[in-house]
Amino acid sequence: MANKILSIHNLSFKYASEPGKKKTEVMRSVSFDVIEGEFTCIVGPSGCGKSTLLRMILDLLPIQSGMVERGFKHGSFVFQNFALFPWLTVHKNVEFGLKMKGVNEHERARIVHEKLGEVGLHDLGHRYPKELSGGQRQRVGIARALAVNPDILLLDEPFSSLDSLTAGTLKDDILRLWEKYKMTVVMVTHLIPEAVELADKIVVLSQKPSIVKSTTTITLARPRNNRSANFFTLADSITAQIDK
Amino acid sequence: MIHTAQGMHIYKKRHHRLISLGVLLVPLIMIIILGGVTKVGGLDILAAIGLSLFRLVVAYGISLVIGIALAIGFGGSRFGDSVIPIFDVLQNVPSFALIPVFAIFLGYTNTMAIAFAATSIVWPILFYVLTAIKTARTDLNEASLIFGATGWKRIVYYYLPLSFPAIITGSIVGISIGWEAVIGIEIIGLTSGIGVFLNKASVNGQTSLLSAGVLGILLLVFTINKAIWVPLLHRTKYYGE
Repeated sequence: MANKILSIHNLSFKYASEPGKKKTEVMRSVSFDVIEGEFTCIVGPSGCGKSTLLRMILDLLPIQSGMVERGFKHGSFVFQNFALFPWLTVHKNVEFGLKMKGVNEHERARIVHEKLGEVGLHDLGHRYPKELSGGQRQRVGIARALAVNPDILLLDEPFSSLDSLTAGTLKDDILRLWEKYKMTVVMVTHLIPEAVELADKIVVLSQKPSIVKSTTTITLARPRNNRSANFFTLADSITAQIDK
Repeated sequence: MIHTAQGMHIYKKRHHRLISLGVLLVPLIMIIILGGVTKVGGLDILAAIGLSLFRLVVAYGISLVIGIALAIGFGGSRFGDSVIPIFDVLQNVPSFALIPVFAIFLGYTNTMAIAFAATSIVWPILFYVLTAIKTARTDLNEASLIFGATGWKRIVYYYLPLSFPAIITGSIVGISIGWEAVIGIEIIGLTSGIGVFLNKASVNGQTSLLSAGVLGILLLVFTINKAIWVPLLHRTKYYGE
């Protein structure tokens, strides 16, 4: 039987733009499970609380109502806008999490070299984030996230700041790394074709206050042909669920 | 070491080095000449400036530690927004109005001059750093937490580098206010330092001596600017997006 690595139970969230102001209900009783080694995508319209959900999973936001059952030890995160520390070089950005964990310098250098190689940036370690393109920055973000050897990787719209060509190659890289490390991935996106292309399972959230509209298992064979009739049928059916 | 190398890179240009050297040497020679003419001696002027500089540096050191500690303490907490108005009121109290208060507790001493200057220097450092922390990108803060920067590591590896440009800018403003405070308190109540030197020269109508003293301060300010602040400001460009 497949192991659950993450269970979300009746999670609700309200948010006030400023202290003292009226709270807006973002999420209402959201529940779903994530299976170990699975690639899960959470899709939904803008503002439905997808990114908020990821932050609650990693305990960056308080849980107001409901429960997050974490069956993982180390979670890692790839940000929409990269969130690289501008004062650190690429090498030091990737090294950051390892340094905080107290990993020795020699081991850090080995891991950083390996991860930068995996994302195709082994010769850019000395550069600063502002000297890189958007795609390169996101690759650094992925290398940084992988360096800490996570058992679950959360990705918050990782391609939305990139052009379509760069996003395409980065998707291939993420799939390659997911298959290599056999880790659990939870990715948030508002692009349904992107989710159908990558995921084993898609959790569809509704408009705010969001509820889980459906959980769809994607059975299309990999590598997926995003021009096939089956692909479009599936993407259309999921889009229709959000529009309902 | 890489920081220093990048910071000093600007001095690799030959004409920049020559101008800097000229601006340093000319006033120094003039101080020695004027010191000789006025029979005071260039070394006396430099000693007076040195004493004032010592007071300023100690006051700056105290302000730096207190300013950064308060900014990180409050900026990193949910009370940050509540304390800003309180700090704003406190920093608007005219510092010279506090001289009698300092005098009661510490007398017109070296300690008093340093404490008085520190209360002037601390504000720009505190406000610049507090603002840098409060306005930092949320995702950077989240990244620091996700990748394990908690406790003391959070201060060393996140808050300090995050606010480095603010520390430098706050320090530059603070030091200029600090000079006013040190020289002001020396003129008002102390018996040594460049403030006392200038005041005596003015009272006695010794314009050459006065010029030498002012030149000495200019020389020092220029040296500090070129040797410390310019390389550090240059370094801050690596802290922006």
